[in-house]
Amino acid sequence: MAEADLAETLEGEWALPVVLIDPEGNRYDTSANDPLAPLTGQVLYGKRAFNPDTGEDIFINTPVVTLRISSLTRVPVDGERWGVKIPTRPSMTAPMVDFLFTVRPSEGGASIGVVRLYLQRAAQA
Amino acid sequence: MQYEIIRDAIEQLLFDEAHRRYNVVGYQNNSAGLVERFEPTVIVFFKSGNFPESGGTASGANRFDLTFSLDLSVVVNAEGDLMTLQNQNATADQLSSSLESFSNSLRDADRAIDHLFSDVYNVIMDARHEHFKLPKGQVSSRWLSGFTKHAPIDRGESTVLTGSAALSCTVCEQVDGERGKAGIDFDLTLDIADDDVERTGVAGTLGG
Repeated sequence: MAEADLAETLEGEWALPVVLIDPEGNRYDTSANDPLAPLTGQVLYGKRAFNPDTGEDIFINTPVVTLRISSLTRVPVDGERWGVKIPTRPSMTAPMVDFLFTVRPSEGGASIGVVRLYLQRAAQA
Repeated sequence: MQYEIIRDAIEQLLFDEAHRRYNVVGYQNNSAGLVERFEPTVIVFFKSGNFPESGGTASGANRFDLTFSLDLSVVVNAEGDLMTLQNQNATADQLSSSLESFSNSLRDADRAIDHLFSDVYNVIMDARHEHFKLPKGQVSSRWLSGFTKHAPIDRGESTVLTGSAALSCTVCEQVDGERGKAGIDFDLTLDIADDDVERTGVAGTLGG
């Protein structure tokens, strides 16, 4: 798979808008590949599982964002804490909600040109 | 059996002394790491028991050494200046300060479960709770023998940290007998009025 294919697999029909905020407070909401296009990527909200107590299907919130590295103006590096906004539901027009992520070495995917971000909910102190 | 009474007494004791610091679940639950609980939770259940042969009798009471599991779990989110982070008009400096203000959820979870174990330890090992509020003699040797933390789960919306403590105690079990059948009644009244020969001992006949 060529890196250019990520424009289809990550930023194609199923992509959702993403806004990144780096540790210096700079916002990134456009793609480095096309400054007129919004920054988009694959957003997965969670996974289905079953509750062993009841046998019911349940949904576990484990938001994960996968972005094309070449679309990033600045690439998160290990140990940095960033802010990120993603839509509250899988829709281009849904309101955005804030999460945080701290970059860890295992989250890199440089060899295939992507970075995977595991998001954590932020709470007001 | 006695251990069922003890199990309920431990659950009730933890519940009575929680004072909104934690929730109590009184049965084995597999989903501690699966379903997020938003308050510190203590799951208490009977885990294993041992009848030592040296503490048993052929037809009477048997010593039963019990081990209960206390599974603790906390769910934590990073806390900080979220309002600034949500503000569309915030400057870069303000956003940077906001990001710096957020706590490390792994550290918070670690501290939270330490605090939860401290609360539970102080309830169980309080001298006033030596018998789990049961009559003296019904249970003995209660001991919280250890606490182990498990690996934190931080690949989710919240950080989940669980741990387990082992609580041991000893009871005396009696065989109840056959259900639904009345036992045989013995009248063991001693009549020693006729003992005019062996005045130093007790002799007599079974009454009734």
